[in-house]
Amino acid sequence: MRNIPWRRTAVLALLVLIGAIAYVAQAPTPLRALLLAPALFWVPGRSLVAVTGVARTAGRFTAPLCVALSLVSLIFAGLVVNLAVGHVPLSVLPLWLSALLLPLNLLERAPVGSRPRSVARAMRTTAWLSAGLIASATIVWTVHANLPAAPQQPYLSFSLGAPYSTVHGVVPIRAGQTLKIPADVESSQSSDWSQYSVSALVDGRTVPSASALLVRATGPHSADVAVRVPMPSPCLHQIRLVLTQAGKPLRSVDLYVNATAGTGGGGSCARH
Amino acid sequence: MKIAMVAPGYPPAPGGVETVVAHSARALVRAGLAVEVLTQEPRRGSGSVGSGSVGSDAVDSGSVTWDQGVLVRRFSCNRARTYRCAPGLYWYLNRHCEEYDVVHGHSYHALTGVAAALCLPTKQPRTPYVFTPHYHGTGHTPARELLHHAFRPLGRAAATAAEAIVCVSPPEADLLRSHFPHVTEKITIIPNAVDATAIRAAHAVDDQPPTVLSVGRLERYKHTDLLIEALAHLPVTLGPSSVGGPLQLVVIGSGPDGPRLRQLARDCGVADRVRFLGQIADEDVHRWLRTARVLCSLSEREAYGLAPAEALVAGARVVLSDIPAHAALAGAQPGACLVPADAGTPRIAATLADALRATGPGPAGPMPGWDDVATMLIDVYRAAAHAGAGAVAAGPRPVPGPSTSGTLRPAQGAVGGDSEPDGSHKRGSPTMGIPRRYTPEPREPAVLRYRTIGPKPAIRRPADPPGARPDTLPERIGRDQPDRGERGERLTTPEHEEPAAPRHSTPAPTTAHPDLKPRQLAPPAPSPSPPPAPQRRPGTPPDQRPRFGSPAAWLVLWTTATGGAVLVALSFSLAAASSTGTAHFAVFWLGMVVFFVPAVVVTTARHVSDKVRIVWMLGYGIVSFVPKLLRDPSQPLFHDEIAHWRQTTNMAADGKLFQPSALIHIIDRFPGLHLVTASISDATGMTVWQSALVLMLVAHILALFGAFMIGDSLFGSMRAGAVVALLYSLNPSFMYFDTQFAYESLAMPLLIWCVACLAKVHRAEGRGERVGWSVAAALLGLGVLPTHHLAAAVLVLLLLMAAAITWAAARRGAVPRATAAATTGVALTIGGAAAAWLALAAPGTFAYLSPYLRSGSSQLLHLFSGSQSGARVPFQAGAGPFYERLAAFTVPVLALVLAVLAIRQWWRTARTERRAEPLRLALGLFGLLYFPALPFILAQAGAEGARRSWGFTYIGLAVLVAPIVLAGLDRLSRLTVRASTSVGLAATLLACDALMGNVAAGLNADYRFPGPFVFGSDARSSTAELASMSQWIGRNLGSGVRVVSDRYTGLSLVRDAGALPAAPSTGFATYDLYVNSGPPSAFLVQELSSSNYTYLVIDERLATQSPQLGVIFEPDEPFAHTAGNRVTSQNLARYHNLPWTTEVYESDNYSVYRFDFNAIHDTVPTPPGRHRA
Repeated sequence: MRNIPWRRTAVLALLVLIGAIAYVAQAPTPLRALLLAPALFWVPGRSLVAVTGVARTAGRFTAPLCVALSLVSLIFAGLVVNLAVGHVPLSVLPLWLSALLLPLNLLERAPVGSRPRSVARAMRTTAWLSAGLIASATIVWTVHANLPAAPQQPYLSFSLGAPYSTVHGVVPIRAGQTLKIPADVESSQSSDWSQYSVSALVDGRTVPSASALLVRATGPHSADVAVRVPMPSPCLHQIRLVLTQAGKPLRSVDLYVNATAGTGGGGSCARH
Repeated sequence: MKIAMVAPGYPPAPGGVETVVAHSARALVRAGLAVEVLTQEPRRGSGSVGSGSVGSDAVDSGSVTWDQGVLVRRFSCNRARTYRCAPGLYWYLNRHCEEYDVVHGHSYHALTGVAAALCLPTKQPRTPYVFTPHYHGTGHTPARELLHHAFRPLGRAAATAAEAIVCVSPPEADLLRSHFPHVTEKITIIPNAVDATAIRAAHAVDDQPPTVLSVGRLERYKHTDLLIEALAHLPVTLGPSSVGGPLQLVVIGSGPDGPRLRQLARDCGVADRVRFLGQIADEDVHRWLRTARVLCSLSEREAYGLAPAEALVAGARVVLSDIPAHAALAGAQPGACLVPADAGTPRIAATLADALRATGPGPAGPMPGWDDVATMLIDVYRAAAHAGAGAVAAGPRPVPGPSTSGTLRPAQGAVGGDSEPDGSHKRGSPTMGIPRRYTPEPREPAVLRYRTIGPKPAIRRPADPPGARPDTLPERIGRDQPDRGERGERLTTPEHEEPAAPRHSTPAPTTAHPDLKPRQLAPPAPSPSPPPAPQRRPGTPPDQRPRFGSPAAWLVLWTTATGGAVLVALSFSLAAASSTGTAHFAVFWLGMVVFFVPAVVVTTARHVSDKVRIVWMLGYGIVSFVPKLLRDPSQPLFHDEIAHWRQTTNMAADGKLFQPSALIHIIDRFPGLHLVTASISDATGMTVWQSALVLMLVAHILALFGAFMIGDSLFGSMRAGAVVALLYSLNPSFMYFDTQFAYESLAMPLLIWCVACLAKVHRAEGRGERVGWSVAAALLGLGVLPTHHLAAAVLVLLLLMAAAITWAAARRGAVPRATAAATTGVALTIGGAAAAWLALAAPGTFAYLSPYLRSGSSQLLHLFSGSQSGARVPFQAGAGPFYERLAAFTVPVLALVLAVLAIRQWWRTARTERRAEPLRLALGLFGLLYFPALPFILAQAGAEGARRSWGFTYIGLAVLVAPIVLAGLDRLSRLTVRASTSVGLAATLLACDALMGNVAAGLNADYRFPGPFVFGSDARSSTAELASMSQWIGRNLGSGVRVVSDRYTGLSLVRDAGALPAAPSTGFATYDLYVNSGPPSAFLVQELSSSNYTYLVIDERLATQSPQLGVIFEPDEPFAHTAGNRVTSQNLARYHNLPWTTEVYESDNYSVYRFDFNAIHDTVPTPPGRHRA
């Protein structure tokens, strides 16, 4: 005679329902994760355990077996759905899977006359273990967060700002045109930005109008500057921006421009 | 009258049918008939039986012997344990049937009865045929049950052909009628008889303690295992009135279930009180029947109950399962009591206890003798002869032999007279002397239930709630009892001689729970006397009660776990803060040992409840995850981890599987891990990394518990399971490599659980159980396939090994063929699916894996040939302390010693027991692969593969050496306190040595500990500067930008910028940009342009430092592990002044250049004082 496990099926259904409500109503919080955990790690596997009828002989390994089967079922479900529709609705997949597999619990042949396990006792044990785990984790995390970590080497970076950081290839311009080239400076440490300046060199020669421009602090660790560089002649030119500190060059970036004589382009390069 | 009895065997061949045939044939001879028994016996070699060949003129007439006037012809048959067939017998019978007045065939299930009916000529006059089917209605195994159904038409034909059918009990007749209704009119019931005179004349065996007896073939369906388990629940002595020592169980009989039963006796701790006598002479059986207080038969199907009937005659009480045949016997015998077919062992134990306490011989009701049976048979023969063609009515034929009288005595007259003085039966009484015609009539409820639920009322062990185990039954019997451990406390340890003190201390379960009252025992059993104090040697610990379940013990768990984790955190901080010294190693190991040692002590202790063991194991799983967690809890750190994290992040964004991976191209073909993680992340709202950590923790604990279950299933003990889990956890990958977020970390627990379920298949006791676990194993194994390639290959290899070995064992009859079929089914399912997956979804897997194996093997061969090419010196970096290195070198030696001892022990085990453990053998052989993999650690290309393989082979190694470890632990417990302390300390040190050595061998210190920047290290090359550069790229250039970079920069680019670094190869030699001083080749430019690689990231240190891993880009780069650096400062600095590489970012060590291959041949004006690059 088969003893249909209505009670366990109802509990599992309730867990799925709670997970669904948490998914719909809750913003991403640890509580939502907690409420969805049964649908992820328990219900699908428990349903498969029920249909295979191994719960009776799994003994105390039923719980990890359910978790393992839940993970496997999630993989299979994902593959099947992907095969069917080309992508996987990952966020709702566990809930759908749990709900679909839920009826399998009714197929389990539970021993006649078996007594349901004491929920209160299980809850009490789980509560104690959870409390111990949380207390332990809190202590370890607190210690870990307050102990000294590996020191990081300071750094200073210098880069082109938009849009010249993203333009592709040699930039076409007109001869005589003045380019406004932004640059960013970033440091891992708080710095006195008044000591930093940027100079522009065209083909290695300093541009007087763009020499020793002080950077502007935009934050404790960052600063920027905009350099105006007039293009001398139609040709391929290298514009180099050099970051200096108290006259000492630290970093540089460059930009290649192809200056043309007019809007029609062309023209000949002045060879040096 | 001459009778031919066709029987599947004849004494001395063992078996109930054989005994019945022999006794009835002798009785028929005594009654004046000529009887020939045509039987079969396995071939023993040429010429030993008969001569001639089937179908030849010289017909095989069998080897002839005489047995008390019975002519026995033995025909040669195959050697199979079941379904033997002697073609010569049937050929002979076909040719000579006319010499007999009646042919009487025995046994439906052994085929002889059916085959005899079918081989008789059909032409008239036909020799009358009487059929005694000894019908069970089903096969004893699923395979045999299947055959039984297929065989049924032949059985129907035989029943139809028979003039009379003799059943030995009404239930058998009911069953036969339900399957063959058309033969109802032919059925006659002639019960089996007992040789009361011989039994009562036998003397009891001297000086025996109170004895419970089991007589019968050792087959699973006989459920002698339940009896052994019940013995473990009985008090050792029967109270102060008992004399003769502890209660013993004597098992008479042999059969395929013997090894398992012996193992079970050891598992239950009653090996010293269970005596397996094997097959013994009838006279000795009678002596034991006279000795026993109780005979117990818990068989799930019998046509009769010959042994219980004999026991009743001998004066013993009998405890029987309530199957119909037993119910019918018990109905007429007041000395018999029944236990329900689905009773648990406590209830059986309670019934046995009450039967044992009953005083005086068991009252026996009327019982027929063999002469009565002969009389009844003669009536049947006579009726059959008349009902036949009438040819035999002419009278008996003279036959040769010692008894040639053909006188047919009238039934009642010939057997009249009282028999025994105690009135056990009345010879010739109306009820016993005349064969009863069968008439269907209502039976007892048990009989009816038997009929309604089908032919196989398997005795289910538990009427227990799911999850209950025999070892937990004491808990459930008496709630006030303390936890006192579990049944497997002494298993797998043949040397074990632990006194049975724990059993003494257990209050008798028979009175502890009202449910345990046996059905037929009205008065409550008296409480057993207080157990005697266990005798112990001086100095041995007195504590035999359950341990580690007190609040103080739980506090120790919490304190050691927390303290250990804090120490690990402290060691990481020390390692991070100081680049020199090895203090952090010591602190780390102190933290691990603080928890590891008590965990080992508690989980392997004998007297520990399941709950305590499991919670400690859970704690061990969590604590062993702490080092990886604290290594960098904020982000993925290792190479594979970053690749999988990025893959998962991409999948979580759009739900698309099989997206290409920039770091490890093969992982997109194995999306199992990413799918689960992305699903967790998307469903819960946690970040991908948080989800990954949760999943890895779950997988880590799952792996541990999977090994736990393998041990528990194979050895039948939670303690053994804990030993297997702990041994497995010592593998080099367990603490670090298999905890990182990578596909192997999820595939490994699935693989282990597949094996664990397979172990359950091998221990399954019924078809449903076997099928269920097979399905579970297949599901879990199939889950490995889309998750990890190497794990899938290893799993298929392991399963095929297991299937082959199991089939070999099944062919020898050591394991049921159904088990072999299930194992093969799982192996073929997973193997086939793996082949399909590799062919259809992941065809590049072989090409991905083969270079590692090829180059590793090649380097190893070079190494053996004396070349140093590709050689690797372990611990060359020298970062670890000396004790770690020492431990790493001692672990293989330790493993080898244990493995040799385990093999020695295995070899010393009885062959039948060895053959009954095919999965253990397969896992052991698989574990031995650890040793051939060891030398690969000395090859550059093979080291990683070797380390990875250990993670797998340790499963087998753990199973292999677990019995030895348990034996050692048991021996430890028998030492004095001082000695056990010393040896225990040494054993603990060895365990710590193994843990330390394997962890040190698994990963170098840079992986394990945080610390200052190490150039060319996957785990230590990530700096704030690198992260800032990557974030700048992500922020300014967007995600998915294709870049050329070195391996270590590429990791950060993938993680922090979502960039796609180029994977260099000989066909896509992006490393030319670093190592060549000239412009890139046109081919490379074309490749870079067409693939839209737009940025080049340079780490200036490439020109000044050698990477720790020995590679700049990938392990298969042409200059990997070569001395000297191929990248020069000049090569790198040239990009400052090339018009096709615009420098858009520069920091202390990194420069980012943008490609413009259109300007590759352009020039810019040369600055004064500078040279053109």
